Amino acid sequence: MRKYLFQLIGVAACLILAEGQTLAKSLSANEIVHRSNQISYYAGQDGRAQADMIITDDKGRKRHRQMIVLRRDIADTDELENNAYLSEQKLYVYFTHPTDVNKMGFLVWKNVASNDERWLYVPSLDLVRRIAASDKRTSFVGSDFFYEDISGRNINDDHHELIEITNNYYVIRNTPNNPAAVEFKYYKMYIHKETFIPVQVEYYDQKDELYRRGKTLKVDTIQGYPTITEASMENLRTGSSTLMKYTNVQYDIELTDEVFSERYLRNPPQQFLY
Amino acid sequence: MSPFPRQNLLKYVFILFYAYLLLASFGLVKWELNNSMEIWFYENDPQLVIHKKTLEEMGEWDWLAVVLETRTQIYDSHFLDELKTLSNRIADLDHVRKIISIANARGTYSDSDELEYRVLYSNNLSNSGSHSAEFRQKLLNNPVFINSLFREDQDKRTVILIQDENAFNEGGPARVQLVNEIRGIINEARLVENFWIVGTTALNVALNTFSLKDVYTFYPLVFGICIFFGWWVFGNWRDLLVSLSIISAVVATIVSSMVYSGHALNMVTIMLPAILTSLSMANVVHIITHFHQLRVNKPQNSLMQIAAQVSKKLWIPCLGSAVTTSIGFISLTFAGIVPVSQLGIFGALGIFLGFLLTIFVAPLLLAYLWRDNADPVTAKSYSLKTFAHNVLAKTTTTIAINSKLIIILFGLLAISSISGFHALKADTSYLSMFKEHTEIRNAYAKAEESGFSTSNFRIYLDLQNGLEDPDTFLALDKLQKAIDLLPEVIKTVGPIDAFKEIDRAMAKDASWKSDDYQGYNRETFAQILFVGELSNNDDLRDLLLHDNKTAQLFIFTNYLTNNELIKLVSIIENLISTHLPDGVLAEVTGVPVLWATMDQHLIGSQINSILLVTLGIGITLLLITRSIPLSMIGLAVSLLPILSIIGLMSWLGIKLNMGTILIGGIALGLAIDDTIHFMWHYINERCEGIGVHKSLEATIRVTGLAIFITSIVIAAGFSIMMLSQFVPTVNFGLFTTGAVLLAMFADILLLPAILMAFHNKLKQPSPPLLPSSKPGLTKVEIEDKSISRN
Repeated sequence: MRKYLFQLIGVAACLILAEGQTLAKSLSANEIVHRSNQISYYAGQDGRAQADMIITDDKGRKRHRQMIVLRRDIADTDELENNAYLSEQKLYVYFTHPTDVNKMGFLVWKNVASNDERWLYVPSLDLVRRIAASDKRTSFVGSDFFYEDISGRNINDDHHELIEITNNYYVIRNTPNNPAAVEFKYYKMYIHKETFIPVQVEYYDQKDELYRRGKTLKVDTIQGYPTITEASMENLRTGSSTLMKYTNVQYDIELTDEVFSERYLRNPPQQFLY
Repeated sequence: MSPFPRQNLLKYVFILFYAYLLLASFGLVKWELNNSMEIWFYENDPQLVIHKKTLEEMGEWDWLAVVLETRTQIYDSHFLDELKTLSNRIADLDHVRKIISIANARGTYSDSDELEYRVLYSNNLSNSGSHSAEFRQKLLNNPVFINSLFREDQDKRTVILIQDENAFNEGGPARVQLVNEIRGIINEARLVENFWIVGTTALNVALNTFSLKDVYTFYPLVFGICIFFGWWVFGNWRDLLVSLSIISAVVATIVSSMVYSGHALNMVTIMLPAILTSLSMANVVHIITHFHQLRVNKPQNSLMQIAAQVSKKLWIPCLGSAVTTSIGFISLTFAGIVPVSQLGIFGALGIFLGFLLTIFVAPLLLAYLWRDNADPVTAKSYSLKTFAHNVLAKTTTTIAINSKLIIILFGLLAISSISGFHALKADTSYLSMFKEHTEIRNAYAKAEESGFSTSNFRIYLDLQNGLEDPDTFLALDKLQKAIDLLPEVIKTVGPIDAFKEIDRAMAKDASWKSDDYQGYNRETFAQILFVGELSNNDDLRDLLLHDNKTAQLFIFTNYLTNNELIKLVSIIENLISTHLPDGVLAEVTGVPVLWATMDQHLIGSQINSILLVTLGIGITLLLITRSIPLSMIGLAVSLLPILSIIGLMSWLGIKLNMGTILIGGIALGLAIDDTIHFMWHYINERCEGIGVHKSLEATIRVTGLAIFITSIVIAAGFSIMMLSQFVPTVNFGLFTTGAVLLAMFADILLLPAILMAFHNKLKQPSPPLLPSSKPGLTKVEIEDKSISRN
C-alpha cells in the first residue's frame, strides 16, 4: 500500500512538472518577445515619467540630462492577441536640465511600418525644425541608449529564437532580417518569466564579441504595471555607460493627441510636465 | 709578483671569456626598435605633460593624410563610388578611428527641409555633368571641406583624412603595418593615378623603416671592415680572433644591457654598435701591435710575462684615452634629448668595458693563442711594412725641415674654419633627414605642390565658462580668424566651425546671415551645440567634449622646420594672449611642437659638450704629461680637427641638428686618443735620455703606425654611416670621419712639428707615472745626449 502511494505521488509530481514545461514551451519566441515589448513600451494607454540620465565617459567624466517624457499609444488596446497593442506611438521629450537647454522640446511620432518623424524645438530661437529620422540606431541625446532603445525596436525586424529557459528567464536570440541595416550580428534578451521585463540585453558584433549591454536595475509596479525604473546601457568598446532613472511615473493620464504637435512644442503642456 | 695567473690557467681564462661572450649575446636576440614619439622626451618635460594631457582628454589620435591624384575629376560619381569603397576599407583597418573623404564627409544640412547630420555624397546621383557640378557646389558651400579635403582650383586631387590611433608610446610596427595596408588598398584603386601619404605617422614610419635598414647595413659592414682591416694589419687568424672577440664582447654586453634594462634601440642609439665596434678595434690594435713588438724585442720573456708587460705599459694611455672618449660620450647628456643621452651613457659604458677587456683580457688571450707558435709576428702586410719604412721613417726629417710651415698651414686651417662659426645655426627638419628622391620626401613635395597640408598641430583649450559663453565663443572665433590669416597656415578646424555649420543648417529663413551668431546669448549657443549632440555630430565631438569646456583647435600647415615652427608658435601664443579672455587656458601642442622645442637647446648643449670634453682632456693630459705646456699643446692639437670640422659645417651651411650634435663631443674624444698615445711614448723616450729628434723619430715610427692603423679603422667604421638613409647620420659619419683623419695628420705632423719647433722653450718632461720608470735626466744632460745622438 505504502509502495503504491509513493508511486502515485511520484507520477503526480512528474505530471505537474511536465505540465509546467509544457506551459512554458507553449509560448513561442515571438509571443515572449511581444509580451516583453508590450510591457516595456506599451503599458497603459499613455504615460509620463521624469527621466534622469547620467552619462559617464571612459575617463569617468559625468554629465547629467534631465527630461520629462510623455508617451501616447495610438491603439486604444493593450491586447496581445493579433498584436493589437502594437501601434504607432507619440513621444514628447521636454528637457529640464542642464539649465541652458531647459525648455527644449523633442517630438517623435513613432511609426511601425516606416521611419519615425521627429521635430526639435529651440526656444532661444523660437524655432521648430524637423529632424531626419532615418537611423534609429544612433545615440539618444548623446547617451549610450539609442533611439530604438527608448522607443522600441520593430519586432518584425528580427528573427527570434528561444534558445534557453532557465528558472527565471527566457533567453531569446534575435537575428536581424536585414543585417546590412544594423551594426550587430545578433542580440540576446534575458526576459523575466513572470513579468516579461527584459532584464538584460546583450549585443554581439560580427566577431561574436559582446560590445554593448543593457541592464534593468530596478523594477517597480506602478498602477499595476511592472515598470522599469532604473536601467543602464554600457558601450563595452568605448568604456562609456549611461544610467537612466525614471521617477514620478504615471500611466493613463489622458494625454490628448494634440499635445504631440508643433504648437505644444512651442507652448509646453504645463499640466502634464509638472 | 706578477698579477697574472700561471700559464696553465690561461686555458680557463680563454674558456671563461668565451662563455661570457656567449652569455652576453643572449640579449641580442631580444633587441627591439622603438622610434615612438615618447622616446624623445623625459617624463617631466613640460611640453610632453601638456601633450599627454591633451591626448588623454581629447583622445589619442592624430591625422594622417593621403593625397590622391585621380584619372577622372574628383566629382565624378564613378570615382566617388570607388573613393567610398576605399574609405570603408581603410576605416576597417586596425588603429583607424575615422576616415573623412569627400565621398563620406558628413555635415549638418537642411536641404530637404529636414535637419540632418549626414553624408554629403549620395551614390544615387547620376554621373551627369550637372550633378557633378551640383556636388561640387555643395562641397564649396561647406568651408570646413575647402582646402582640407579638396581645393577649388584642383579637380583631380583630393585628400583622404585618416584619424589614426597614434599611440604616443607605440614603438612603430603597428604604424608601419597601417601605412603598408593603406598603401595596399589604394594601389588597387582603378581611378587613382598616384597617391602620397603624409603626416606625423607617415614620417614616423619612414624613420622606423630607414632605422631598420641602417641596422641591417651598419652591423655587417662594420664587422666586415674589422675583419678586412684585421687581416690586413695582423695577417693571421689568432690576432684577428682576439680583436673580433673583444669587439663582440663589448657590443654584445652593451646591447644586451640596453635590452635587459628596457631600452629599445632607436634611430640614434642604432649607431652605437657600429661606433663601439670601430673604437674597440682601434684599442685592440694598440695592444696586439705592442704584444708582438715585445716578443721581438724581448724574446727571452715568456708570453705570460709579455702579456703582463703589455698591460703594464699601456694601461695608462689606454685608460687616458678611454676616459677622454667616455667624457666625449657623457657630454652628450647635455643635449637633454633622451636618445642622445642614452647613446652617451651606454657609449661611455662600452668604452670603459672595452678598456677593461683590452687591457686585462686581450693580452691573456694572445698569450694563450700564441703559446705553441714560437715565430713572432711583425707587420705581415707588405703595404704596411712599406709604409712604415718608406714613409714614417722619413717623416721626422721632413717635419724637422718644415716644422714652421706645417704649423702655419694648420694654423691657417684652424683660423679659416673657426671664422665660420658665426654662421653656425641649429635647425632640425625631420623631413630633410631623408635624402631627396626618397618616397617620403617625394610624398611631401607632391602634397605641398597640390596645396594641401602636410603637417598639423593643435591648441588645447580649457574653456572655464564653456564654449556657450558668448565672450568665450566670440574671442575664440576672433582668434581662429587671426590664425587663419597667417601665411604659413593652410587651414584651421575647430568646434566653432562645427557650430557654424549647424547654425547655417538651422537657419530660420532667408533673412539669416552667417554672422548672426555674433548676437546670440548663452542659451542660444548652448542649444545649438545641443542640436549637434542630438544629431550625433561626431565631428563636433572630435573638437569639443560634451562638457563644452574642453576643446581643441587644429592648425594645418605645410611641413615646417623646427625653427619655422617655433616662430609660428610664438606668433600664435601672442595672438592667444591678445584675443582670449583670462578664464581660458590655451596651450599650443602636438608632436611637431614637441620635436621643435627639442632643438632649443642644441647649440648651447653642443658648446657645453665641447667644453666638458675639453676640460676632461686637459686634466687627463695634465695627469699624463705632468706638464702644463705639453698638455696645452696636446689639447690644441686635439681641438683643432674638431673646431675645423664644425667650422667647415658652418661654411657649408650644415645646421646643427639631432644627428650633427653628436659630432663635437665624440670626435673630440676620439681625436685625443692618439695624442695621448703619442705623448706617452714621446715622454717615455725623452725620460730615457733620448734627444728630441730621436724621440720623435722613435715615437712616429712605433706609435705613428698604430695611429695610422687605428685612425683608418675608426674612419672606415664611421664612414659606413654615410650609407645611411638619414642625412644627419650621413653627416655624422662624414664629419666624424673627417675629424678622425684630420686628427691623424695633426698627431703625426703637427704635434711633432710643435714639439720640435719649441723644444728649447719646453722643460724636460717629467717621468711617467709608473714607479718602475727610470728617473728623468736633467735638461742639460738630455741636450748633450741629443746632440751626441744626432
